[in-house]
Amino acid sequence: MKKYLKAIQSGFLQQLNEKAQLVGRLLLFTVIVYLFYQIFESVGASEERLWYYAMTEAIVLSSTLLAVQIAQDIRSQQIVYFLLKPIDYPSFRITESMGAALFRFMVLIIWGLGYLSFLKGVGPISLYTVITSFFVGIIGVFLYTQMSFLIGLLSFWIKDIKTLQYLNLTATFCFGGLIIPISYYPPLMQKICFFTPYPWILWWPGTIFSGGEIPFVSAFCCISLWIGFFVGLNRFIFYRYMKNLVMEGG
Amino acid sequence: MSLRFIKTALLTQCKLNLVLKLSFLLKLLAVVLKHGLFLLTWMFFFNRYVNIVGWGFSEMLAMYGFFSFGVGVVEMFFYGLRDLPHMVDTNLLDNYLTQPRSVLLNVALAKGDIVAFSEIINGLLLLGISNYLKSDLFFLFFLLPLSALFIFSLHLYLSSISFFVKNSREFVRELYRNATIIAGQPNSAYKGALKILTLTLIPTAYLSFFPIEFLRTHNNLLFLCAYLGTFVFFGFAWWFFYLGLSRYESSSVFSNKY
Repeated sequence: MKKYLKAIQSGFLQQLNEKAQLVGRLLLFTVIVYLFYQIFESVGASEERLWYYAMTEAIVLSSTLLAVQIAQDIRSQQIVYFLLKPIDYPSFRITESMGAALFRFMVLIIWGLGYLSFLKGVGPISLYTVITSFFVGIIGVFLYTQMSFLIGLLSFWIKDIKTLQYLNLTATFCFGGLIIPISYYPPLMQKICFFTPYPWILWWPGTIFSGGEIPFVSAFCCISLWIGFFVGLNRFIFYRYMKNLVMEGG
Repeated sequence: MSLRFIKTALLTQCKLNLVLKLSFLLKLLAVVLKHGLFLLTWMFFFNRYVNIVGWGFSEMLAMYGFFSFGVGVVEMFFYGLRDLPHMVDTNLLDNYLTQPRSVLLNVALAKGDIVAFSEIINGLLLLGISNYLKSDLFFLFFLLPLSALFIFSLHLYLSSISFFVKNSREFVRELYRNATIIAGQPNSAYKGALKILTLTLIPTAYLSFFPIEFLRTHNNLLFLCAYLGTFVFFGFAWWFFYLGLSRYESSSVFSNKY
């Protein structure tokens, strides 16, 4: 357990060293939120929409390129070196990625709170809302990380996972309700969305952050089921591949 | 002679891309799904808010179609521009400096992605759904090449930054991502600092605002703005590339390769 906590710490601290990337990410967040601030203002949308959007965008920008990392490990056969170490490869990569995502999410939320208060005033939230939505957002990021890990694992069979990554991202935008909450979608589309894991990644934290209410226990049960499903699937695929892995060389 | 070179380069790219047929088809399907899902989200937005400063869902579709067509043409034929920062950082540009063809053309044609053909089809399809393809076919005949020229210039302009900033691959990619995000939203809503930004530093207004606003209003001044702006931007990007190239320091990589 201690080594995985170290992996979280390592991912977290690594972000501190990548200052240029951090500035770039903050700039991107600032520009996109400002862009949507103008769009929402021009259509007369309620104030909550911008708070909702800031949270969903912060989650999207916090996610790491874990799928690319896994694909690189597989293609360069770096993955073999992990097998020799007393460490579980999936757990190590996921915890390291979560450390980085945690840092990014924290910085973006703090920056976002200041920025939105500057643009729109204090807004519809309390300290309790911020803490709850932060916690829920982290769970959402964890689910997204598990999905990214699965896409990375697919590079065992697929040469180029870039398209799958984009597809997953766009599905997150659409089924997760990146721009507007899923409750604004037509009823049939809402049903389709809730058959996917995406609403729990974006819609749930976004709604809480914008002052909305969702029954916590049932939402938590749903996201836990999805996390359990992806953890199980990832382990199954990973260890099945490992059984068939044949390596040559010194 | 140059045309024969372009033809050969393009044919080679197509053959290379079509080697893995299943992968090609899967990518094609994924691109269609990706665009479909993105626009579905915007459709729900417009169902709720109807219009954004005069732009409805039709204008949004036209803008996205216009943008997608330009991206498709450039990624299909001139995708090498995207690798320019990598070439500069690793001195791989040396290989192109010794050849008798234009460096810019050579670099741009070095890579192509046949899957981007789906972006072109997607662009035309969206323009068709928006009704502008039918009602303004004559104007689109002049405007569509403009979108490709703009995306070409955008790649050239941003990639040329790598001549001035070391190890800027990630930075350039991030800038391009920013530019496409700004270009891909309903531009009619932009005002103040954001409007100035889209007219100057990241001039996406010439791609995503003036042409669509022209199609909507048929104000000739907007057509002129789109053309003038794009050509000035292209001229600037061209100049910026050669300015950067004059600073480029070779590491004699070509002697190692050949």
